[in-house]
Amino acid sequence: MRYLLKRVRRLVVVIFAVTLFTFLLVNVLPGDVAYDIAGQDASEEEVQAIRADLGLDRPVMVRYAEWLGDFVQGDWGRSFRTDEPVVDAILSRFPVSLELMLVAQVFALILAVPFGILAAYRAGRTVDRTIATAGFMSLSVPSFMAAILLILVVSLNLGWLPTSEYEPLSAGLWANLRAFILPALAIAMAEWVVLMRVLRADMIGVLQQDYISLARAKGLPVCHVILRHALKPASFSMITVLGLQIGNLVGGSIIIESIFALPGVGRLLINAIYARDFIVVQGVVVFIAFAYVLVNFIVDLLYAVLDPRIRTERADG
Amino acid sequence: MFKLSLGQRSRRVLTATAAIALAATLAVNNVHAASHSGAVKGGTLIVGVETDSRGFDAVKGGVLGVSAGTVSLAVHDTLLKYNEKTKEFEPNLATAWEASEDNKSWTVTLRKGVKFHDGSDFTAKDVADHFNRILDPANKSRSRSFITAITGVEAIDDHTVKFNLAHPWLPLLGNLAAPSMIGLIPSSANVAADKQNREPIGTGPFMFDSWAGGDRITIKRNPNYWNKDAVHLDEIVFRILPDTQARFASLRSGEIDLIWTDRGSSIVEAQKDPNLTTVVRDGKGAAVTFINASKPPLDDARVRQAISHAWNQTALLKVTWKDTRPFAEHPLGTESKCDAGYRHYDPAKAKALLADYGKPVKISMIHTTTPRGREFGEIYQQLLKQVGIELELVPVDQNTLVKKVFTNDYMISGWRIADADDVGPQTFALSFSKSSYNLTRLMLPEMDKVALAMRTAADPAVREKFHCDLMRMVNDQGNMQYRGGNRYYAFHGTNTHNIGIDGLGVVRVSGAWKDK
Amino acid sequence: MADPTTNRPLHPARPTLSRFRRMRPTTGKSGQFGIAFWLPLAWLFLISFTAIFAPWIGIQDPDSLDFVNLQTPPNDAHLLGTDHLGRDVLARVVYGARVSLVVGFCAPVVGMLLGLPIGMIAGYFGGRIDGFIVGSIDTFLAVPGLVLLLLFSLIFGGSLLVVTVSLGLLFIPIFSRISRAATLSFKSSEFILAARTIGANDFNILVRELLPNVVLPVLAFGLVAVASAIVVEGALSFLGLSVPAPHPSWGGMIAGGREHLEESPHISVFPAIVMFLTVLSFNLVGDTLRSRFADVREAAI
Repeated sequence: MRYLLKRVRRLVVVIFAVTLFTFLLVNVLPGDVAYDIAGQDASEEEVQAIRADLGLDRPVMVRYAEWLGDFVQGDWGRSFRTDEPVVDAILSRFPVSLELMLVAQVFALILAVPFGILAAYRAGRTVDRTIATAGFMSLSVPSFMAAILLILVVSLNLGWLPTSEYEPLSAGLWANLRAFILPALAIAMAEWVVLMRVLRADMIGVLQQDYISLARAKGLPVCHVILRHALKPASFSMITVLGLQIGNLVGGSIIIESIFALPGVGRLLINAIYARDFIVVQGVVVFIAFAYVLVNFIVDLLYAVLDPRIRTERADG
Repeated sequence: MFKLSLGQRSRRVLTATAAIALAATLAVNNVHAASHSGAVKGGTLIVGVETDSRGFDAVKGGVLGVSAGTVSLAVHDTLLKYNEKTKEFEPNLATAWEASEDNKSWTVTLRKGVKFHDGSDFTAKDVADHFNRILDPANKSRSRSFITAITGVEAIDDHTVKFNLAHPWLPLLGNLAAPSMIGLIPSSANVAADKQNREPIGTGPFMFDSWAGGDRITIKRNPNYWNKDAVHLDEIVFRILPDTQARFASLRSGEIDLIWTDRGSSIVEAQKDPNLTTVVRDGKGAAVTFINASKPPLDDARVRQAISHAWNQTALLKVTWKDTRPFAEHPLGTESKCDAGYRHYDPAKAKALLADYGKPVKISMIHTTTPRGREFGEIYQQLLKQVGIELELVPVDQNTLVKKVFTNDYMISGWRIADADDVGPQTFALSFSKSSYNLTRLMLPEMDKVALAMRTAADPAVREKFHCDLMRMVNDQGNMQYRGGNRYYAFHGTNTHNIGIDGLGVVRVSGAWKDK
Repeated sequence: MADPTTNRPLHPARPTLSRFRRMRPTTGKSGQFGIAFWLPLAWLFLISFTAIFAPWIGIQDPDSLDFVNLQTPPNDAHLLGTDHLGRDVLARVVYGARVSLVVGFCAPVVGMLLGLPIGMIAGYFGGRIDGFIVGSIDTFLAVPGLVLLLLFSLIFGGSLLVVTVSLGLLFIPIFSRISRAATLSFKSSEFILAARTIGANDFNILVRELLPNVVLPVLAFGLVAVASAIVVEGALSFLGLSVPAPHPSWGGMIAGGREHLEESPHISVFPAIVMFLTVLSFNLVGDTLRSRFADVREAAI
């Protein structure tokens, strides 16, 4: 319980520090949202009038305090530009980011599990080394490059998946999923290697256990032993990594969401930065930080539950 | 036998296609006609738009732009309509309009029996409230600066409104016909209820139905429209598809019926595609480059003129737009007969002017960080290098660029003169020395004189002449260069008919129909 | 180090996962370097050589435009073709390597110079200081890296210096973690205790005794950090926020060719291939060296 309290306190501190930090940073950005709202055809007087109207002419710290006060009461403010409540803006885009990351993790798993098992089973052999090399190659393709190459090959050359646009689930499952295939692949490109490596390492350890040797000695087929007896204990770490990746989802796909025009939280953030829509930037950053801290927290908690030693060790830190 | 029948069939299909194509061509040329024989009733049109709307309220929604404008034009009506062929204004929500003796006020008679989508009557109060709201400085409407010549709008009776002007001002009629926040008339009750921005109510042929932010806007046919025969579709869905290539791919696969784009290679490709019909319209205005005359060495006319001769608009149009935009010698549009004395690309002349100036020229330019902005900077830098001018490129984002130009913190920057039925208000503000929008900071008494004469001209021909004179002075001074005029393209499948492009590039979809 | 473009770890070693075994090297047998080491090394030398000596080995001007030869496919005059402004793609790839290599090498150095002392202080003193540092790093990590880079680049303008320094800042967490872990593992060893008994002060212990031991695992991570720095610079220039025009950079070239992907894929594909090979090479060489010269576990933070 004490441990839990400590963690919650840290969460609050992190959120506070993160919001203050970004608020200051975003405020020293050259240009401001008034110019965006006013547009090119306005005059400087009109711009200044809009600034005053939005309260942008007041000191930064006053505005931060005001924002924080509202935030604590659950009011995340409204977008300067669209007048949309920030909470609504984030919540309406969050499912897109979540789905993207989930689909990406599914792709990553489809690659990671068989290759991880194979690499562990043939550890040190040619197969293992080939998989490791392939992993290195895959890891060396930045996501934005993977995205461009996938568009080039899959959509333009092969004509399989037109770089089709986001459709909500109401338009049908396939129509909805289709838009996520390429972006998810671009993300999975590096993700699977991380998962595969973790699985391989743990699997090697498990395969050396006595009960596995025993099962083998009893004459059970290799496939059976690996899938039935070894996979489960060996995949705990991998699943943890998977969880952490999902925790990174929002900040994780900014470029991919922009390239594939997915209306997710990442794109909301980048557009808000370009428009100097402070309130939206602030809200999204808090949201991302929250997701990040929360998932780390859950993972740590899981450990604490599973391994009592950590509870005391962590509480010191 | 079998072969023969196949041949016959395909020939018949061909004839049918030809007939449809012909019909489509006719339809395009005849956008404003009230109804069409052969039009199919019913159906859903799916339109791929580039950006989501910021809302439809004249104060909260900012400027409409092409995407939101297209939606708004189907939901609202303008008072007048401009006929591109006859160059005349035609009745729409207004049935008659007349200027006073001194040309300082206009009386407009409104159509009777028109109802808003919520069933309430359309009256003079709606019109007066709409304009007065934009004009009220306290509301800070982005549309205000375009119509400050209007001092106020009065509802004389239920169906008569009077526009009072500060001085004779011809662009009024263009604004009353513009598919913009200014021209499109909302229900004043809905505006007062603060719902107009996200649930607009107008008198238009289609009624707002739903809006999923970032995804789609759906509108449904207005069963009580005053001009019912001109409307054929049941429903129009505007899908927000920001990526041009994806939008284009969806059009070709038939997932959507209509798109527009300004991407050169897509336009070139679409025009070659036999399954697509192209709709084109030239606009006024132009993409421009500002040369800040208050920053040495640009305060010397010879340096600015040298830059004008170093600038190669043809090359830019080829590289950036694949020649899908018109070469601009002035922002008055391709139909204007104005000879503005454009300084054509001539490196030798540029070098001579610089030699006359005598000192080495080192300047800087701001451009946006987008690929297009970079490209513009790179081309500009190389062209100036050819004549011996050293140009430093400073990349900034759009927001900063606007701020720097407004606060006089730049030497050279890209800008635009927005398309309008009459770009005079903009060119006036850009040239008049006391205007806060004189962003190139070139202040000349002789220019002021011409600008004022243009602004208050009561006769269109006189206005046009002074406007041309003004543009000739700008070209002569070299405080502004052109990067191509406006030309709008929309593409739709051959089974869709009667799509037109209105002013500002806004697409008119309300009269469209689709083959079964 | 997470790749800030996606915020995913480039390597499975993460703080909360620290108790997982690290993968053993797979390149060759221990004691000798295999082809997976020499080939990448050769590529890196080739890239560095052409980048440094570009003006003297017949590489064309990367900035001069040619409105006649727009988007020409590879040919004799232009080995990798020309881009949408008629510039030589090969020349731009070579000059772009300068940006990638400078940022790639310098950003990790910045991160190392700042992260190393921070991590050592945290590990050595422990207690509240450690708590504060670890907490600050947690906070720092909760903001997506790309967002920070974007903000820095917009505030200070995109230039080689700004990109290098701000990217370097993003490397602080990983370097301080490694050095903190190493410090912890040596802190209670006998030679430290010995130094303390003969009266050495904290500063002396940190610099004389601990630093030489801590610097090795930190350096070993260096080359892998170079790879991720190149990737992140690429992402930044893909967004147009790295070095200003007309200076070429790989990410910028890939972004610039995106518009013409259908008609002229070579504009994007060639810089992508070169970037891929370079990142891969740094990863392979870095991993080999790391597994050879450092065996310090990135223990718990």
